Order: sequence, then C-alpha cells, then structure tokens
Amino acid sequence: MQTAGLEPQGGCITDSEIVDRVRSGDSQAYAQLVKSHYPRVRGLCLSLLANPSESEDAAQEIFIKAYRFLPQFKNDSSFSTWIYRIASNHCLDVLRKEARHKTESLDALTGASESGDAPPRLTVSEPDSSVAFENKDIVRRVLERLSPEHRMVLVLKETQGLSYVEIARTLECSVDAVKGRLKRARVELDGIARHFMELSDV
Amino acid sequence: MKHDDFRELFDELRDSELGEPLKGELLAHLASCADCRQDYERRAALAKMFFRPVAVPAPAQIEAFTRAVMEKIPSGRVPAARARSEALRNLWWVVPSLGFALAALILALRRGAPALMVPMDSQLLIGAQNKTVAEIVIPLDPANGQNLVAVEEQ
Repeated sequence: MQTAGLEPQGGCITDSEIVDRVRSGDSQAYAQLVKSHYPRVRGLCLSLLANPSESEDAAQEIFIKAYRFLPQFKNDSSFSTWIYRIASNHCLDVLRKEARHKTESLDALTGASESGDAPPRLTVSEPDSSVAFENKDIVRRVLERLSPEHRMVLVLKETQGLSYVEIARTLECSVDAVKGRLKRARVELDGIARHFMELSDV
Repeated sequence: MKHDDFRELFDELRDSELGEPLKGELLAHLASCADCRQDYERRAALAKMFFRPVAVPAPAQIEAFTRAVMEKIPSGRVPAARARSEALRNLWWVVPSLGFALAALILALRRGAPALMVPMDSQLLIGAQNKTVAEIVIPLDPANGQNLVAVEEQ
C-alpha cells in the first residue's frame, strides 16, 4: 500500500515556483508538474475506474483541466492537494455517469436468481496478506456496487493512504465528515461483500 | 469500556488515526479478547481484499504520458482565465452593494407611503373615519380611566 501523503516530492524548484513560471508564459514548465504528480493521479484513477485505458484518458483530462484552471490555483494550498481535488471530482463525475447506466441487480451479477446456485465465493484463506481471489471480476463488480462517494473515500484511505486531514482537504469537508463517510462506506462494503462471501472464513 | 465501545475504534486504529491513551487501551483489549480480535482481523482482511496498492509507473511511461499531455495543451501564457477570474474577484463588492441599495430603496418607498387610514365602514370608532391611527383620540372615562369605546370580543 502506498503510504506517502500529499506533500510535494523533493526537488530544487517547488511546485509553487513552477506554477508561477507557467502562469507567466513558460507553458513547458508544466511538464515538470505532470511528471511529479502523474503517478499519484494515475493511482487514484486506476483504483477508482478500474479500466486502465479509461484511467489513462481520465488522467490526461485531469492534467489538461488543471492547466486550464491553473490561474485559479491559490498558493494557500499545495498544488498536490489541488490537483488531487480536481482528480477526485473528475473521477466522481465519471463514476456517477457509470452508476446511472447500471441496471444490474446483485442477483444478476452472480446469476444466482437464474440458476438457483449459491453466489461465487471470494475466500480469504487467512486473515493476513495471503489473500486468495477466486474471482477478480467479482471483486471489481462488488466495488462497482458501492456508491461513488463511498468508493472515493475508501480508495483515498485504503489505496492512496491519505490521512483523515488530507482526505478532508481533498473532498473539501470536515475531518468529522470524513470519519462518518468512511464508517458508512465500510458498512456498505461489508453488506455487499457479505452477499458474495462466506464471511465466517474472513 | 465495553466491547462495542472498543469496536467503534477499530477503524481509527487501522487507519493510524487513534491517539493515546485510547490506542493503548484498545491494543490491550485486543490482546485479551479473542472475539474482538477476530472482528478486527476480519475487517482488516476485507479491506485488503478489495483495495490493493497500485504499481508505480515506469519512468518511460511517465515520460510518454507527459509528452501526450504537453501535446494537448496550448503553448504560451494562460492569462485569459486569470484575467477573467481576477476581474471577477475585483467585483466582489457588487452583490452586497446591490443588496444595500435595494434595502435603502424599500425604506425610502415605505417612508413616503400614505399613512394607515381607518376604514370608512368601521363601526368601532365612529367619527374616526379618514383619520390616521395616530390622530385618533380614544376618550377615557374620568371615573376609572378606562376606554369609553366598547370593544366587542371576537
């Protein structure tokens, strides 16, 4: 799991200085910002959007959007937090659009209602890192059943390793709101997962 | 604390957001309570199952991505949006000013409006027609100082 926060990566020139250069006409300086922040933006997109090519497209759109809105960036927050916020909003929009198109029910996902069979098992052989997936596709589809907001906050915490404060800055809400949203998201994930798994093994 | 109280803290412990002394108390409880420990491990396993780290892209991939982005952005300054946003920021005073002007206008209109008149068909205050409320003098009974005008109860 990535553990790094949102702090800018080390270097001689700060993000803020690069932003000033881009604003004053040196558009090529933006390449440095892209290089520095692409890994984390891509990580967020991949975690949320699952499809690699869709994630890559989303990451490009995010950086192009950030360039367009660069004049609105205020130096009172870090560029890292700011572009992460743009990325989160962009991914949320994509997830919401996808959610509107989804009509499958949980039973339809597993085919249980048609065949009468038990849902496929997603077993965890031991409660440590030795996770055994029987069906990665089902894992992905369980995540897709989460509401976009819950999926977002879980990815920011579990995959991106952000602290509550960093998540609050990214989602522009309070730390208490982050705690509450995370709690509800985990309850929702637990409920959906129980539908597919024998939790007594987990 | 009871078991449920400890379980409320599981997420914060796993998220490395739990401070002392609660963290110490919870860890001690987990060491001694098999049921809570099992629940804690189940939750941790669930998270590991569904959320896995994303591999860091190779330098060549970063370079290719950066080139692709830079090809799509216009060269030169990005002043248009800046000028527009700064112009909008400089007009922050417009909305409160309009509100203040509207409030002043309403007050001026009310001050100039005709005073409340007693209706012509009033049976209660005979003789008070066409007088303003302020002009009406209600006669008092010199004996007890009460109003001489009878008011019918609704």
